[in-house]
Amino acid sequence: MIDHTMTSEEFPQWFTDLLLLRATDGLDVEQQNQFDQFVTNHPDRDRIELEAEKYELTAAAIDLSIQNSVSEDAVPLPGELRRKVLDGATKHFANVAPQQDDTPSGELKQALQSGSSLTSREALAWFAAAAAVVLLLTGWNPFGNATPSIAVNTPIEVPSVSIEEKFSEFTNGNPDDLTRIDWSATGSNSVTAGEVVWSDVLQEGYMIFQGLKPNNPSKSQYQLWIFDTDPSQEHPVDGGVFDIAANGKVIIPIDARIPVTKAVMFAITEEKPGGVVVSDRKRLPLLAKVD
Amino acid sequence: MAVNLITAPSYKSKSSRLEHPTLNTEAPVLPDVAAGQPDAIATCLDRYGGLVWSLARRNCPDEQTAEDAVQDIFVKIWQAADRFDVNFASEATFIAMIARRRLIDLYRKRRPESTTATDTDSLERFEDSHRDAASHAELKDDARQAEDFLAELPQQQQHIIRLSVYDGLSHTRIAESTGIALGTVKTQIRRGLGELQRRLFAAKAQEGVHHD
Repeated sequence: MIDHTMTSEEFPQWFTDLLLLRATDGLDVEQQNQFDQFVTNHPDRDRIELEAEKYELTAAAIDLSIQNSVSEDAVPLPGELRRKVLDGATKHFANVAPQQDDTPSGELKQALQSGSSLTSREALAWFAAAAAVVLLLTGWNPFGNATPSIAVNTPIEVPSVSIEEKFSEFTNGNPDDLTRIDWSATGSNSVTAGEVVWSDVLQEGYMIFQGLKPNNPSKSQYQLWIFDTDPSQEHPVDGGVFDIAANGKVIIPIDARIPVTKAVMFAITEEKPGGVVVSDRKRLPLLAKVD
Repeated sequence: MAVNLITAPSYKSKSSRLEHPTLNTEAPVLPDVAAGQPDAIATCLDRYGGLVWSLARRNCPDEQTAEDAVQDIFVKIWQAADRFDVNFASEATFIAMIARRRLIDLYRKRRPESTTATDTDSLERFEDSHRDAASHAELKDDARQAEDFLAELPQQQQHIIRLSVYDGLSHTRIAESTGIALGTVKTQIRRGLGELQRRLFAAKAQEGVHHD
């Protein structure tokens, strides 16, 4: 239960200033480091994160109120963009382990029978999600060998620009500083293989995993950390949270929250859902160090 | 060049405002989204797609990057859906927060200051002290309270917070465009946003007491 009476009044002024800046302009690298250090040293990280979110929520509420007062007629999401977002949802939830019995296949049937506004493309995307669940539950791949370039247990294939295509485009672009490093498992019982591919120049990269233990997103999520040579970076850069639904080969895009000057190491930790600002590194299954 | 902060009221017609969907009157959809229910995801897009699209278009340099941002933001929304707590914020505010956070990370920090609108017209858009009651009724919960509390702040503080939060101007740029000293800008944002935060969450706590 959230304690609504909590205030940030006991925080030092400089940290409150960081919270305000984070809610309006965002933090630069140095400020992010100061923020991370304070959070790391604070006995109650969850509370700090909640306080930070309070300012962001306040700014969002102000933004909404002004937007409502000044904008012209509401502009709906363009149809094609809506379809892309739905495709993204299909991929996301296909990679999330099912938490209850009402599988997408049943939902799809219900949605179609109830005259939902799903287009054929959307329905196809939902079918892909349903098939992914079938694959997860039964091991039967209804797509057969349709995606030979991806591992057998690839959870989904949808008729849009896939992550595999984006990855292929990225590597085929052959950035000058493209770095490819194999993952090293830190635990003796891990059978994980794969690599991390990253470009400092493009600030873009992907992680490939084969056999990484599936997580339950309601209990934990994997989080990537990027270690930078920048001396001002006292803490690794948050590279985003992600889920693994199957032991097959999966490709995950890297989502660096702040610019990385020169990446020297990548680490995967297992954290609470949503990730953390600073990891205690208690569960660190994979590392990839640049030679 | 400094601009006049006190400008003539300029607000939309009542009819156009009433066409905006009311965002917070329906039951939250994010818990079902978190469970991956397709109908809930479609509903979420119907309900908040326009909101996210508007935020993206306002903060991105062009239409294509706005489209990319929207896709990225919704992935963040799917990831964060299970963290939504109706006792802490309205669903629209929670989604706007996620969108703002991502847009700040992706584009606002990198946006050339020269491309940011700071002319008198943009300030006039914010002058809404004479808004009609009908449009006020469209805003629910957090946003309405934020509007009320914002209106009670000193005039200069209101404008500075609006330039920072809505237009995305840096503190330095606000100082340059308004002629107000940078230190004063920072102080006004600190005081104003701090006060709004305290009042909004005190109101939330009060709501919680009443609901209990």
